[in-house]
This record gives sequence, C-alpha cells and structure tokens, in this order.
Amino acid sequence: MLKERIAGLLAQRRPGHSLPRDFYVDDEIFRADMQVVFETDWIFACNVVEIPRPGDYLTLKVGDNPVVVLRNRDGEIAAFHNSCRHRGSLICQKERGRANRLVCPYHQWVYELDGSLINARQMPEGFDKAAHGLAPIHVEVICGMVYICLADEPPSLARFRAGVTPYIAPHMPDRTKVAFTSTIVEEANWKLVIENNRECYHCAGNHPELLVTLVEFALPDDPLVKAQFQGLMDRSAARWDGLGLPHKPAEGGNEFRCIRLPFNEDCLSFTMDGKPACNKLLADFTEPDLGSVRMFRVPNNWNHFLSDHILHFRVLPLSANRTEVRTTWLVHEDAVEGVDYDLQRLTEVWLATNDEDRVLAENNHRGILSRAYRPGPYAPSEFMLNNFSEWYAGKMGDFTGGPQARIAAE
Amino acid sequence: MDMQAPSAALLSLSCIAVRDETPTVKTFRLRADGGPVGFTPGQALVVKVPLPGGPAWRSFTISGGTGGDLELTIKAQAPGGATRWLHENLREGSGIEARPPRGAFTLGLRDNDRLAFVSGGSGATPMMAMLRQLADTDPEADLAWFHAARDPAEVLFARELAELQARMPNLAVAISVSRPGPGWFGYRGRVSRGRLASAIPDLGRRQVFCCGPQGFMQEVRLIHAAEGGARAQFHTESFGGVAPAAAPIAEAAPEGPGFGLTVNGRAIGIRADETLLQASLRQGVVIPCGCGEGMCGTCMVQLVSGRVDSRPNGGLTPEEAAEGYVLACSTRAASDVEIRLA
Ligand code: FES
Ligand code: FES
Ligand SMILES: [Fe+2]
Repeated sequence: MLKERIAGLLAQRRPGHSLPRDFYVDDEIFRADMQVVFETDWIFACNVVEIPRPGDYLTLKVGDNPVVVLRNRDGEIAAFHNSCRHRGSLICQKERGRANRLVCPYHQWVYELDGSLINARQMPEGFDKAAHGLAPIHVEVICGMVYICLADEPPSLARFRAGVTPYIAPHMPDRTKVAFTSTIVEEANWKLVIENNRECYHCAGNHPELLVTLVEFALPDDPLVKAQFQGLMDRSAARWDGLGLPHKPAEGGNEFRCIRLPFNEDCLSFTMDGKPACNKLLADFTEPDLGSVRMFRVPNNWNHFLSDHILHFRVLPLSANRTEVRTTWLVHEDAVEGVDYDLQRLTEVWLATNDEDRVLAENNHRGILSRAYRPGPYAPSEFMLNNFSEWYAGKMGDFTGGPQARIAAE
Repeated sequence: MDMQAPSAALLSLSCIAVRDETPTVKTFRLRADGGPVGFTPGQALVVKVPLPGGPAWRSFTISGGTGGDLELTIKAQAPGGATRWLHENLREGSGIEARPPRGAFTLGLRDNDRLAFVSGGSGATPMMAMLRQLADTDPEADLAWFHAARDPAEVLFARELAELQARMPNLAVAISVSRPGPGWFGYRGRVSRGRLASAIPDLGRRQVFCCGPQGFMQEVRLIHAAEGGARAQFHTESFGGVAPAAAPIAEAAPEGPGFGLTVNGRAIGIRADETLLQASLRQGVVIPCGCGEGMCGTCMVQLVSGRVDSRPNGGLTPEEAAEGYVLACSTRAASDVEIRLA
C-alpha cells in the first residue's frame, strides 16, 4: 500500500520542479523517509573533537532510534543503539556527557565502552552476558566528521571520503575544539530545510548578515561570476593553486558536493565586517584568505571550512513538520576565547542566518499545506535542488520498485 | 647613555679592532673622533662606504658598544658590494664616515612582558644589541630567541647567548638551520609556522622583534598573525629593505561627483550614477533586495533626510511613499542622504 502510494507520487513528480505536496507534509511519507533514507544511509552525527576523551559520549535520535556515539577506551569512535538489552530502556539520557561505563538507570545493567555487558545483577547462573551486548552501529570518521549508519550492510563511503579529503584535510579538523554549539527546531519538513540550504536564490532578500561576506554564486562558471566576480575568482584560484589547496568542484554526483569559493572582496570570514572571527588560524595556515570549502552531503549535513574556523550543520528530522538543526563552530584547539576570538563575533552571522532560514522553511512548509500548492519550477540557480530531488526520488524509487525498476525506467 | 647627542652631521669614525664571528661575518669596533656616541640598542648607523665607483650609503645595525665605542657586525655579501669592501678594507687604524645612530627598532617599543626576538641570518645583530641591554636592565625578562641560519657554522652569537643564558633565567634559545650536518641538535629547515610554534608555543602572545631578509620578515609576520598575534605587537627592522608587500590596491572607484550616504548611522558615500542599493552593497552594507527594479518592495528603506530621485515601479504603496519610504534599488541621491533600514 505504502509502496504503491509512494510510487504514485513519484509518477506525478516533474523533474526540475519541487516535489508533490505529500512528500513534504504527510506523516506516512515521513515514516517512509526515516526508514528508506535515514535508516539506510550514512548520517552525519558529530565531530570527533566533541568527544575528545575515552568515555565522552553524545546522543542523537535517527528517526525513532536513540543512538549513543562515544569514544572507547582505545580512543576509537564507536556508536551503539542507546537501548538496554534488558527491557529496552534508554541508557544515556543527556545530550552529551562522560561515562566510565554505560549503566542503565532502570536496573543498572552495566556495559563496557565497547558495548559488552559486564554486569547484570540478580540474573541467574548461566545467563549469557555475551549475547546481550549493546547493538553496534557502523561508524566512519572522515576528516574528523563522524558518520553513522544504522543499516546492516552500509553503502560505501569510499567515493565521498576520497572526494572530500583533499579539500578538508589541510584545515586539520582534528586539531580543533568546539567553540559553540546551537540547536534549533524548525517547524518544517527536513527536505525543506535541506532545499533551503541548497540554493542562494533567497539570499539577497533575506540574509543581510550573511551577504556581507558570502558570494552568491555556487559554481566558478556561474554567469554571475562572469559579470561581477571573474577577477576575484581568478585571483583566489591562483592563490590557492600556489598553496596547493584544491578548489574546483569535486565529482560528487547527487551524493555530495565540495568546492572552495572565495568570500566577497576583502572578506576573510563569516563576520559582520569580513575580518577574521578567530585570530589564531587553523592548521599551519599563514594565509588568511582561503575563502571557504563548502561541503554538502545527503541526507543531512553541510559545512564550511575557512582559514580561521569550521562550521558543521546537522539536520535531524523529528516529525513530518519538525526538524532539528544543530550548528557547531570549531576553532583552533589552542585558540583562547576572549583573546583569539569573541563568541558573539564568531557566531552572530550564522545564528542570524539560521534563524532567517528557519522562518523561510517554516513559511515554505505552511504554504505547501495549501490545497492550491502545485510543484513549481526551479530557477537555474536552484540546480542543486535538482540534484537533491533526483537523489531523493532515486531512494524512494529503490524502495517502491527496487533498483531494478529504476534502471529499467531509465 | 646620554653622551653626544645625535646630530645630522657626519661622524668620522676610526676602526679600533676587527674580530671574526664566523667565516663570513666580522665585527668592527669603531670609535668616533669627536668623543663617545650615544645610541639605543637596535639602532643603526648609516655608513658611507667609499666604493671605487662612488660612495654607497648602507645601514648597519649597531650590534653593541661600550664606553662610547660602536660595534658593527657585518656579513660579507657578493664581491664588489659594500659589505665585501668593508671586509677587505676596514681594518684596525682605518677611518670611515657615517650618519649618527638612528631608528625606532628598540626596546622603547616594549609594552608586553613576553618578548620574542626572531632573526634570520645577520638580522641577529640588532637582536643581540637589545639582548645585551636586557641582560643589564632586566635580566629576568621573559624572552624567546629564535634564530634561523643556513648552516651551523653561520649561527651568530652562539657563545654569547650561552653566556647570557647563565645570567638570564627566562631566556629560551632555539636555532634552526636549513643545511644541518650530522651532530646538529637544533631545529632543521626554513622558518615555518609549525617550526616556530613548536619552538615558541606562545608566539601569538608575545611582542615580536624581527629582523632578517625581507621574505623572512614577511613570513614571520604572517606566522605571528596566524598564531593570533596582534599586528601592533610585531616590529621589524626595515630600514635597509624594501617596504613590506603593499596590501592589494582596491580598484579605484571612478570617483564621479558624489554625495554622502548614511545607512543606519553608518556613513558611506554614493556616486551620482548609482542607486542607494548599489552604493550600499558596494561598500559592504547589505540591504535585503529582490527584483532590483522597484517592483517587489523588499529593498524599502526610510528616508531620514536629504533629497532623492525616487522611481518606484509599483513597489511602494502611496501610503508608504507619503511616509517617506523609498525603494533603495530605484532611488538615486540628489544631495547628502540619510536612510534607515525599514
Ligand atoms: S518565491 Fe520561491 S517559494 Fe515563493
Ligand atoms: S529590490 Fe524590488 S523593489 Fe527594490
Ligand atoms: Fe539561507
């Protein structure tokens, strides 16, 4: 039934247009999204520097699935379903914390940081502790970013890893620390949150803080570049070539996108005056004008890597009309707040921008509830929405008919 | 040292001793015929070098001096040049002329408890002059000394640094050579952020005095800034060299007759040929906008004062127009103008 319903909606979909209404607002489709996308694909969870010491953990929910990501005693990142093997209680309840062992608050079953059950009081002689360890979740760490996958057989991340590492590794994310984290909830479907992020058509009318520094084009051969930004682009490219920093768009298909683009003339960072947000530069950089590496990966994260700080955005759907967006600001591990950077200055542009985007996505969601809503055409500058909806339709098509059906249809 | 006040007149100096520092560096001890000469460590002497083709004026930092004598430590450069001439001709008993000591690269600039003296090659000389002064006036000073040389034989002042360390408990010395031989236990390689930061982990918190080749000083300046150092805490001895690379010149705006434009209290300018929106975007003040043609009203701003030529294209209601709103995208200035974002 559900499959037929989704297949029907997919059949209505017009390429180059926004999706049919139910994909954005319907509860049943939302549950399908969770099952088809969020429980099968790699999800950005956090950064390794958020859990620097053994026992540091962080929790999140992937759909209905509570997850704990932690650093184990060997210093490795691991993730488990945050559900006790006794009668299922949530084990770690805080958003983040530190634990020597994971102890279930209900009946105090004790798990080692590797997930094994090491104590279950009052259980009878012969109880098989080894068979009751926490259910593990696949983890991959790419340039300090922790991705998790709930599927039994996770898809390959190899192309993504190979594609983005040359852009990100020079910023040395392992040598950063968290300066600030913000979590907001948007009353909008997660796909609207992503779509909003995938275009800057809306920037001129809505993001006065961001546009002090951000260039509005997304590709170096954008016609806008020709008209206004060619000199800036050429000078920036020459500078980055000289430093051996890649900048041309990576080959990411519909899965991911990675590119280094300049800031506006004389701007170095996301601040209200374009000057650096953190005086201590990342890595071994001495050149402050590195523009930013803009990275995006379906289904749930985008990032900016600058000379002086790194921004990670994590999107987690809560329900058909609610989405959590968590933003993390990373600076050099030795940077000192109040000396090298000022928190307000570091965060004000994106706090304002996130809030503006929240309003846009919420209004988008409300408007789509109208019975008069019809999928509308993308502008050329919204080309990344095409990539996103093609990718999404592919996922849902695999679910309704299996990959065979998709290949046959093509 | 309030001896003879520096004057514009030329000093005539006699060389009273010459000693070898390294195979290519000599120190010349000079005495002014007119009596002791005062100087502040870090200052330089501009020497008139009588080259065969005509005199050349060259700045040399005064590496030290006692009792009114001045010492210049000079590395011999290419044949035919001034330094080579001095090495070959200036010896005990010969005379030379110079302008009195000058320069502001001295400990008079000091306003930080933590110092770093970073030098490349013969740039160590003003550093050594200042270090000797510190040893006398503030032996407890917290000072990091970093010196980069080509090979171990060219490292300057090694013995004297060792002696001063005995008197200066907070003097940390690090030497890097780019062509080390076996048995070299210091840093290896050219100056880089990683190397400098591992030698001086708090470089960004220190007031830096830097002297060396132009490229070296430029690199160290970038490293200090990248480590979080404030520009005002970085001093170079730049008398002899080329001025530091100039900041890229902003494309000169074709300055037509223009007016003042104030947006939310921020004063910028506006040219006669541009709209309020263009003028503010050009100067980094972002007014939200959409159509750019006076139709959507997104760029509506309140006109606080001034005369304008406003051509809304249906993007303003008559009420808004009556209340003094204008559309930034389709309004030009006809006098100095002040606006406020709506
Ligand atoms: S103009 Fe794009 S959704 Fe309204
Ligand atoms: S931008 Fe549309 S009226 Fe000015
Ligand atoms: Fe936005």
